[in-house]
Amino acid sequence: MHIQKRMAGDVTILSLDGRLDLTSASTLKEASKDVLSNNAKKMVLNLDRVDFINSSGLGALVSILKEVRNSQGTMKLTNLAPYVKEIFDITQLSNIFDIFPDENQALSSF
Amino acid sequence: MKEFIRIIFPVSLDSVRVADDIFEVLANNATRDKQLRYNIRTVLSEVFSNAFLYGDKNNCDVEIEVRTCFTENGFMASIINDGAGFADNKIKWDEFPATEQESGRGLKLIKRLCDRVEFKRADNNKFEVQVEFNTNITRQQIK
Repeated sequence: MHIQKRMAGDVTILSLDGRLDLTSASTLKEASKDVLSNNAKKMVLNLDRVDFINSSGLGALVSILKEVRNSQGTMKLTNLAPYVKEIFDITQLSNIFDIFPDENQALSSF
Repeated sequence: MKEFIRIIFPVSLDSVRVADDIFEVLANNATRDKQLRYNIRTVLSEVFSNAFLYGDKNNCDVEIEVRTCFTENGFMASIINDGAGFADNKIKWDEFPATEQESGRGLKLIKRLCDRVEFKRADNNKFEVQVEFNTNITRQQIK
């Protein structure tokens, strides 16, 4: 998985590209840990180029969400593909993540 | 089950990556339905990941075997590995974990996304997970 980091004001945006599964979960966790270690409080994960997610990927996102909350921060997800969104719905994780159709709406919500 | 494809993987993270590539191809060949393709890929990925994570890691010769075939109703796959397995009658299949839990969703996703799942002992006391998808196609329809 490739992860691109950029800033939009005081919001850190991580754009993910590839599969979010067992093989990439640790990469994403490390990238998020790096962001939080710089005292970032606002994070957006853009999943526009994530074409596949399974329970390992979901677990990584839950782990990151917990870390963000423990840091008194806020995390949002954007641009979920329909099949990816369905996995969130089936597992009821769409109830705990703030999910937005695009980055602009996510950024406006902070 | 008449064997169509049979692949043996060593137990490694690289195998998980390669297996996912193969599952994507299998799913694309099993059906034209995009949602069903995603379901097949997700289920196979979940089963294989579990075999990797919870299989016997004390034996460096262990392998994960994947068998797939097209049935009268669709597509079937078995993933077989060395491992203790689990008591599937103790799982609450309709409940997903509390939100803060990082694991425990894989098996339930498998159950939700396929038409049939069976957990059983295979030859040589290995553990087998067999899944089936109703794709309502014949092999002649596959490009």
